[in-house]
Amino acid sequence: MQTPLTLDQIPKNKKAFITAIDDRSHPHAELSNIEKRLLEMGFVEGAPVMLLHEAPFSKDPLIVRLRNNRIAIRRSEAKCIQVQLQL
Amino acid sequence: MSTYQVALIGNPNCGKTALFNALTGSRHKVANYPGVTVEKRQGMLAINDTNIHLLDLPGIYSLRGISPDELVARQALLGELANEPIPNLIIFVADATNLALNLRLAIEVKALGYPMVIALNMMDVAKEQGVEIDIQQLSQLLNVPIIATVAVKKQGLNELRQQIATHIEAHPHKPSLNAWQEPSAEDLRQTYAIVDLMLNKTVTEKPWRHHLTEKLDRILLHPIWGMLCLLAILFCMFQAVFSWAVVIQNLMQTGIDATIQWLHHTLPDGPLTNLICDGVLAGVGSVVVFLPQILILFLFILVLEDSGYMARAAFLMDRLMSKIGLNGKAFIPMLSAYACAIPGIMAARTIENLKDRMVTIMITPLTTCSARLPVYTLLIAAFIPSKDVLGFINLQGLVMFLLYLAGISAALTMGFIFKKFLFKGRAPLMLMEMPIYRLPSLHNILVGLGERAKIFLMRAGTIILSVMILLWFLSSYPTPPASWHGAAVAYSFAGRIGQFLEPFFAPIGFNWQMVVALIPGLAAREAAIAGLGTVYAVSGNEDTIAQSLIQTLHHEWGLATGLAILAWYVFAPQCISTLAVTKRETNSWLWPTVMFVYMFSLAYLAAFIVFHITNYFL
Repeated sequence: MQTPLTLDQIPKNKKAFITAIDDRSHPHAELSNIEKRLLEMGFVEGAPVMLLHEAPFSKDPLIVRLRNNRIAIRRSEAKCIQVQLQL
Repeated sequence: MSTYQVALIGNPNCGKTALFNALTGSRHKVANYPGVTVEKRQGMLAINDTNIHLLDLPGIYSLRGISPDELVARQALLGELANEPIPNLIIFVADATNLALNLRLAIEVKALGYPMVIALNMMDVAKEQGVEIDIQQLSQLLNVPIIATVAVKKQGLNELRQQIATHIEAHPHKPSLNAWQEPSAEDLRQTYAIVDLMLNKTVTEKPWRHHLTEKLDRILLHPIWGMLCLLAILFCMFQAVFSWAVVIQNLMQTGIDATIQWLHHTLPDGPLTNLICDGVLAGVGSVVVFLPQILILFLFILVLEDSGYMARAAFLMDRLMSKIGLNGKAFIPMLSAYACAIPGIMAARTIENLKDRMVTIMITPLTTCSARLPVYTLLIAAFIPSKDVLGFINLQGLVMFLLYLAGISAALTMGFIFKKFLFKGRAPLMLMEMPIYRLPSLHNILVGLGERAKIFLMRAGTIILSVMILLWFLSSYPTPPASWHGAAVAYSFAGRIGQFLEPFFAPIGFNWQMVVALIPGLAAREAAIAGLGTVYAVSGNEDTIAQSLIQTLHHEWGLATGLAILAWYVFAPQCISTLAVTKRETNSWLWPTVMFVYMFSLAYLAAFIVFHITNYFL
């Protein structure tokens, strides 16, 4: 099966929406309860997202637009957010 | 009737504190919750002759209690805090531009069983963005009264007061609460689905863009321009802190000195006069003169926070901070620590992860706080010649710069070591909202500055004052007999303690006078200057009194000793207030002890190395 597209992989300024929150690949999923934290911050299936900025030098963390708000998130957590680009 | 209590709760960045300030005016106080140093903001609000206690709870994303702030908010709502009655009514402050997130939390909080009013805040921004909300219908769907507010412009406050008054009549007694159960991920999704259904019926949103924020972000978050802007802002901040403040400080110092002189002439000679002049006034004076610096620093920090830039700075610094295992949020405490370690350590509360918070607290006192500055200035003036190197760099300025550099390098290195060995753990999450840029509100900034000034002066008024009085006593008594030929202070308790400890400090080049002067430095670092003044001024030698302290030190100590004490000061765990705050913040004696031991060892080692290397080359 093809690996799903995640929030850290989409091009900047392209509209997308969240298809799944899946923290199973995250090294500290259990400990940090990443799925719940992402949900509490508003990353939920169906929500529109867009990649806006990458930090200087390392391109990590990112700033993404989630609905009408901007949120900074590291690549490691962005990988838990599966998305689909809007055509 | 018991007092009626109303609590404000909501997500971070929803304008909750602005609403609190607008409702209470300046009638509020900031204290701490017992045991943890989470700020507790409480104010009074009079509605129809009823006095109401208004409580501003910390901003939260959920009731799970991940950070100390969140935990306190939950405990306050569940009535788990000792001596804290539960509120009668909750005002849920919701950001109208971020409704899905805010209403999800509102539903979770409401499930506890509280009567609730929603203050739909930031309505101006929502309108500007083309968000239209059918408030009446939304209120019916949620079964909660909703009031539209713009806290920063004081709009909607009367309606909110009216709503509170209605509630007081309808529910004069405390509500009976339901048990709280942590929602599962599926529960969270379901609540979002319910909220989405409500919003579909009541909110029309045009696809919007906040143009100002987008334009500013394009520059301020740009890989090159963004970093340059950050550096420029920090540069202006330090310029302001260290050059503007000096003017006011000199004025204050002159005033205090004149008062001391005047009192010495007016009051009859005696121990009481000496206590007032040399103990109390000189001691507290040497601390209060730092108020302008701290206020200017906080003015910058508050403006940067209120305008929305601080979150961007944390974003830009995240990578650097993650190198030592922390996240960008640790940048704010470390920045505050340049004024004073105490607000820095207190600002570490916003860091969710306990281990990161601990590391940040432990390394914060290594950043060069402004209290070290007068000590540096004095010692540099005494020991470093004012000449140019490489034609244009002033040697004194260069040494000052190196001292700052040593402080920040030590902080980063120690952070790395602590993280590696003591607080092992995963790299923390960095999930942070980037608010839109706004003009900071003057009222909020003045209120914030007032709070900082109060906290700082309380500190000066309590710990430092008592230590200064104790020190004055130790260095004045017992008075030497007439047959005593040496300096009076050598006969006193302080002199004896200094002489007793001298062998221990001799390997790093310190004499007993310096050891005595280090003792007031325990109250506040800068007080070591007053201490040196006392030691050398009361040494009985008239020539010494006549000369300024700079010349005295220049003659009394060798260059190696002078450099050694500079090195000592970069690391020394000098001020008791910092240790006291660490004790309170970590709620244990272990961490202040570890802090004292590691900083003391570093200071001793650094002074030892500098002393011997300088001697070797001279």
